[in-house]
Amino acid sequence: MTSERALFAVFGFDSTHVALRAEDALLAADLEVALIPTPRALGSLCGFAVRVPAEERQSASAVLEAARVDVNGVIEIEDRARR
Amino acid sequence: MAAEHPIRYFDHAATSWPKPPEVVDAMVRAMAEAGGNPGRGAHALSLGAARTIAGARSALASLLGVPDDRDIIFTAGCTSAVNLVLKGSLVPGDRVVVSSIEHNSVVRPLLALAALGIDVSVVRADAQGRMDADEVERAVRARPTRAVICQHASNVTGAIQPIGDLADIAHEHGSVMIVDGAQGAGHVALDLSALGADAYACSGHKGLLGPQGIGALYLSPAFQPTELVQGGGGGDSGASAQPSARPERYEAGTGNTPGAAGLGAAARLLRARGDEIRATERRLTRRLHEELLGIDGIRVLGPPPGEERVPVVSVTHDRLAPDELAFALERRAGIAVRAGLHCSPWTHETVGTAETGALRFGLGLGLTDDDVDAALEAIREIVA
Repeated sequence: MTSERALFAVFGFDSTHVALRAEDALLAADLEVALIPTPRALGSLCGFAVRVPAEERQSASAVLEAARVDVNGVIEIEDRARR
Repeated sequence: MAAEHPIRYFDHAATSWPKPPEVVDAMVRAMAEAGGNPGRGAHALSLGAARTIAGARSALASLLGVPDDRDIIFTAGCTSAVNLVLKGSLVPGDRVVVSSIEHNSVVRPLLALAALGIDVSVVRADAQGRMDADEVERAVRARPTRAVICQHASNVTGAIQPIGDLADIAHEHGSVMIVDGAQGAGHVALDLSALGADAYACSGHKGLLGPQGIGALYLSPAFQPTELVQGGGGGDSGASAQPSARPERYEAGTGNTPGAAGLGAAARLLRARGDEIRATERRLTRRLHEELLGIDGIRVLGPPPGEERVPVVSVTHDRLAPDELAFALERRAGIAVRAGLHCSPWTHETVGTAETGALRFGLGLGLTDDDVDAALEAIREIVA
């Protein structure tokens, strides 16, 4: 069985505090946000990261910049485990 | 043995009680519904704990007038906060100017630092326990000074110190201003962005109405003491060095989520009702103060009625010792007070009560005119 796998952009942050501020800012902008365990590819950042649909990566970046939330890294992932 | 009287609680300066129901409910909810490890994982209970702490930090920052809540560090209490800032910022060879009315939470770490080569210069307060800014300036001007250290308000005399003036003096001479706010936070309306303190240590369980086991330290953005404790924080686990970002830098180890929940709920309550609560405290305190002055043999410590004070009224009696009075007040009328030196031997020495100590009434949320009447009636009977 095959199915189309969703693509996501994942933003990493230096601290829990900043990650939660990012979530608040993205939710306020009506983006589809999930907090997920930080993928190892983002390094060893804070325990959770912020995931948005890949097509919303640019708008999410703009929201975070406007909210002065420092992003430590961003990657794109496939939802291999269908999270 | 069951109490013969309802408790009339006049020991708020030690720990406020009873806690507002919002505080108790928030703590229970934190343990029941957000019981994971804050900031360590992305499952619901862990995120719930992280959000609880973040919400509490934000509420407290808002209450204290701190623009960026990352400048609020949660600690185990005011004593921990004072230790962090003193031991994290002073090095041998530094000089500090400190008031003669500090609590042991400042005195003891400072004397431990003095043994390591820190020069501690003490400026004496007056007999009512008030600091004179001109005398502090003379002391600071005399020699290069790293820090001026002063309490915001006294747990013995209730005197409120001129922190804004002292901060100006400190900054004019290149020093930092460190404040023990144990008796100030909650009892005094605060705007830390305007006060001028570089560090302000708060107790969570006194005027802030939160639980025991949590306090907070405000650090101005430019003031960067070294952290005293290194360890895990859920972030940047691969790095061997402690993270430099606030607040994580100063909060290694699992945080006190239930404590933060309670303190956050208390901060929200004080944001909404603080002015009203403080007005009642001041009115009852002034009534108690004025009427105690009319009782034969009673001496009230601290500033006279009409001068600002936090809700603390300490007394001595010319015949009965403070411990005798305290025991009799509870036996006769269920009145809970604190006798002794109040962990502040320097203060008692300054105001002339080092030998006797004093009996302290610490007022706060929940007390009424009826409680004040009962306390006055009981003390009149005891000393008659």
